[in-house]
Amino acid sequence: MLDKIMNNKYLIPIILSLFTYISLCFQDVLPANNIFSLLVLVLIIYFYKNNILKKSEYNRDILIFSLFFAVILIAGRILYNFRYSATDSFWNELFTIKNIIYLIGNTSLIYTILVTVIPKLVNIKFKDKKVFKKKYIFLWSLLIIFICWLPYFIVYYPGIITGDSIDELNMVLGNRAVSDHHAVIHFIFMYIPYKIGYFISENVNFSVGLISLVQMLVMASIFAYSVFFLAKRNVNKYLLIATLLFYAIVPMFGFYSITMWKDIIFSGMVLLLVLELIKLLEKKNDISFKNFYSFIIISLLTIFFRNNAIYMYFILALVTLIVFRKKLKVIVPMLIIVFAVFFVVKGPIYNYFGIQTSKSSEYIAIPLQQIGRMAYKGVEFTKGEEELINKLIPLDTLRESYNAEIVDSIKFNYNYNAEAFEENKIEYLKLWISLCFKHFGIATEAYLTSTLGYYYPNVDYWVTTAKIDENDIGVHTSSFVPDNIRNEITKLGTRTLPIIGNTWCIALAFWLILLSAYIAVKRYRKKSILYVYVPIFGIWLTMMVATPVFAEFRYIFSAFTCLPILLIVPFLKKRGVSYEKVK
Amino acid sequence: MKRLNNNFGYLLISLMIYLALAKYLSLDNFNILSLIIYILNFIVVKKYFFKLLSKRSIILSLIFTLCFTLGKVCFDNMYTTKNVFIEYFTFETLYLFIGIFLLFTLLISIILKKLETLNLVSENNFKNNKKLFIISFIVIMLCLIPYFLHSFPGLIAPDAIYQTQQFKHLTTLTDHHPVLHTFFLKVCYAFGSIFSNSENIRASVSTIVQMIIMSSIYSYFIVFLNKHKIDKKILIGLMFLFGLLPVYAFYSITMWKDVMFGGFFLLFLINIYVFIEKKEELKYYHFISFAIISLLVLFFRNNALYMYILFIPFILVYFKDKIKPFAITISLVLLCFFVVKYPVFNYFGVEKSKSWEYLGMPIQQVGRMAYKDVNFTKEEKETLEKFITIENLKSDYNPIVSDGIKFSLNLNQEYFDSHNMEFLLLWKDLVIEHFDVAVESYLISTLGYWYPNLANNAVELGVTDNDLGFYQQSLVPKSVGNFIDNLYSYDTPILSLQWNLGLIIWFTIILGVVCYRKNKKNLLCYVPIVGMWLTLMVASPVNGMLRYIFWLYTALPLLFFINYLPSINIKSTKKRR
Repeated sequence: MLDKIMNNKYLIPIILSLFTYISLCFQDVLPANNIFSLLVLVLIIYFYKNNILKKSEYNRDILIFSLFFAVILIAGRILYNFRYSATDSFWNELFTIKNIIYLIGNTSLIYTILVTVIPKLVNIKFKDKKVFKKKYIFLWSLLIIFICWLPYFIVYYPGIITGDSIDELNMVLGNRAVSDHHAVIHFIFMYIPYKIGYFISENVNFSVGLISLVQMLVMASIFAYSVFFLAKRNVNKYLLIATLLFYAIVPMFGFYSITMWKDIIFSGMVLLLVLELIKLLEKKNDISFKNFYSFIIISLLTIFFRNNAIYMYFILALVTLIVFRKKLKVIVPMLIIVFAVFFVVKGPIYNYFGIQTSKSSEYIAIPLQQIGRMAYKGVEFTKGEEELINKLIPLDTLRESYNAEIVDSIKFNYNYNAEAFEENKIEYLKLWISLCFKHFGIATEAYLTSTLGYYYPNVDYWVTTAKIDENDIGVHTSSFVPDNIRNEITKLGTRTLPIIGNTWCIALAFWLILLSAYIAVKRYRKKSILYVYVPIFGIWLTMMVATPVFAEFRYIFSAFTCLPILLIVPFLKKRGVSYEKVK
Repeated sequence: MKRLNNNFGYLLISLMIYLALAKYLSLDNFNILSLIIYILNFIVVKKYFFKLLSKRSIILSLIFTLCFTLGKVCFDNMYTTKNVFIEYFTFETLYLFIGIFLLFTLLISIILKKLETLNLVSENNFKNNKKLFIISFIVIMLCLIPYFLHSFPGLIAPDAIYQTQQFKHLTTLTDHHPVLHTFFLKVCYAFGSIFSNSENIRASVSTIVQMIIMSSIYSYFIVFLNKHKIDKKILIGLMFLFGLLPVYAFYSITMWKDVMFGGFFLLFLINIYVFIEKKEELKYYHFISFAIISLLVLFFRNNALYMYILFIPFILVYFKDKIKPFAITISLVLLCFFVVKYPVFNYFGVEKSKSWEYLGMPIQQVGRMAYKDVNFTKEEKETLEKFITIENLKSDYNPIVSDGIKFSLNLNQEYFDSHNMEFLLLWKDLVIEHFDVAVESYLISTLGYWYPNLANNAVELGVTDNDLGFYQQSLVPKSVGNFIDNLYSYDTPILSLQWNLGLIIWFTIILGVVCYRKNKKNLLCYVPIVGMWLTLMVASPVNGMLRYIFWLYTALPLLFFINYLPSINIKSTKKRR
């Protein structure tokens, strides 16, 4: 009987299609009473009938991926919907029958797509003929990308500037002391073009515009270089065109090329670092110190452009030592140089120049959010716990100021006493650990909510302001186009438009990178290829450990700058000798 | 390069489809599941789009796309004074049109292929037809019982209250609701009165009898299919479909003329099919049953007459070799019908429906002109205001239902009744003058019969407030009652689609195309369908009412199965050979 059911090529696909359809309707994706929903059901049935029972050696892995993504979609939706609910419990809601239906429905949908696509990608062979001539490829790419970005510059002239950038501009103008809260190297990056611009025009807007132009040029060069890098490795020309178009056309690059944030250049540097790692892997058996000064420089730029990048770099260094364990004589000095320069500059040199460093409380966002959620949900604290919390921030204030999306409302609260934490770090660590044990459900719920956007794709959170924040330094938007055109272009910087909206999705990028890593391992049949993915997963991990915002796109912009490369990595033709061909 | 072009083409096709879906399904564009729909769409397009494409799927898609896109604009602008044609001819409509057209082409190709290659015939069927009839009847009745118990004494809408008042002589007996149905209610009520003084129990008798009649008709249909060797499993499924599917179940216990009309209409179509099937060996009893069923159909709905008149030439031409018995039968039917309708009804003092009740469409068109503040000339204004003032016309106008004006206290009904030619002449001039508004009004007034996605008041749950002593007296626990009530919901996936009239009509058209491909002779069964539909398109008082089209719900299973019934197929195959 069971065999009969299992061998029926219609029964299982139709039942699973219905599960998927019902899940999509109840998860508010499809309206139940719309004829088009029915059409989607027909598509699903047809798609399942022809694909869901396909057999390949990857089925088990694909099922695990599908289950993983399906669970994320279900749990993430509950967390997102409950983030402002003081009474609902995520865990109670998670384990319900309807979620089992969603699990079956979502898993089936993801599984069928993956089982259709992944085996093909693992086995695909590109013809070598379809390659571009390398001559001028860098210049052409640079030109195309730059031209595609120019409209953004014209529309938002002199650039997109938020509160953070205003702080930095104030440093450039000498209105406030230089601090390492915003990376000092970024301050320098802004300082030079600004001063040149001001020297030429004595106009703040023009000077700021020059910073934007320089940033555009730098980013366009980095992306053009990555296209050139791929071309040098004889990557199929359609993939090259796709990469170029991705950087040139996807709105995030246009918007961010003129946004005055350290995260932008940092993300460019991470891309260069990834390319360096590919080079290292290619030369694995032929590695020599003199060839890799560029690795050192890029490493330094990466870790200087963002404070938390050093944690990612620690992970990278560790993995580098493992991957290149036979070449420690070259690798160890390289890493020592990087760390030595970093700590010398960050320590003695910054001190010498009187640069303020960040406070430790910058890094305790997640614990603050966890205790904040406990207060928000009316957990009963003991007297001792209450006393300790009150020293940091009055409990009532904590309850009221708790915001599931961002820690700033606690951290920058007028009543928040950062000194109390600085003086009693151990006490607070103990408090946090004991509270987490005592209220494990809320602690995990708070953690999952505070990091939601980094693994759950359906979070709608701002990605660009597309304007200049109010300021007293005289920089203001002076668009060259009428307001209605600007408003239309600004829609590109939201998650509301079809397809384009999904390009602003952090978790989607990670899901894709994860799948790409899997395909790479399967194609090369060597795990060392995962080395290339370490920086991005390292950055992702730092977010998962200490992000102050639950879905801040710019923190993870590097995943997008590296996305085309990481998606192409599984299909790279070897240039050196380190990875094997597909069998 | 060709491969890239192909891929680019598929990407573009799926993108157009996705953009249309995103718009019409109001997809959350940031939701990754929406994006997954795009990917799925791409894979299906890539694999099957050009493989399954056929001329008929393209033509059907064009028609449906036009209906859908135009209908959507009409739907969105029902309560606005915008010109729907100006709203329609925009860039947005163009790209949505392309997207929807591509989607429909893909899906209709898939559906047509499936329907044209389906085989439902099997040797695995019931041996004893009598036993099957009894089993089907019992199964359907048992399935209906929870609905009945919860809705006891039955679902009683305003029409039924009005009919009860008529047979209780509280109001004049009119032909507005078919007298035969009112008579049916009266007999049942009288029968109930023998046993009980409770108004509810008396009312419930008509519900029970209706349930018995409908279950018998459905069971008869199942037996009919069994005789034609339709697979046993499908027949079992049909029993539960008729018993459990809310649209059949709720209607079986609703005191509306439309319900039994639906049942008789199914019998009428079966009869036609039998005529086609046994063309060479027709017996007298076939004509007797045809005459009886024709009369039931004609007497149970006033607009069935127009369908019947349209049907006559087709059946006479089709059976031109045997025109005599057909002509006699039809003449007798019409004679009987008109004798009863006029001399007999007059004798019993049955009030005729007001002639202007059939002028719903012109009234709506003129109403919309007033609503949209068109410029009436002085003469037009003067003529119009003899019937109703323009201000009142404007305020009483309701795009969904013509009753807003027709039964308005502001309408001079007596004048209207005696001067409807004057109104029609005015209407003719106004239509010529404001052609766009007239067409727009027509489209809106018939929207539900060609455009899906129009929610309508399909089921009247409970008992309408009345002074006759009828009230809902649920005999099941509250939770069960709530569950049953919730079955009439527009939010339940899949099930909610049963309330979608436009979809049912579209599906009928698809079945018609399959019928055309598989056996053109069976298209005769579609003539009454087209006839009934046309009556709605000409004079429906509501722009989308399920009960007006319930006959299609009962007929649909037959229209589906006639494409696969073996005896016809065997003959046609032989001929083709």
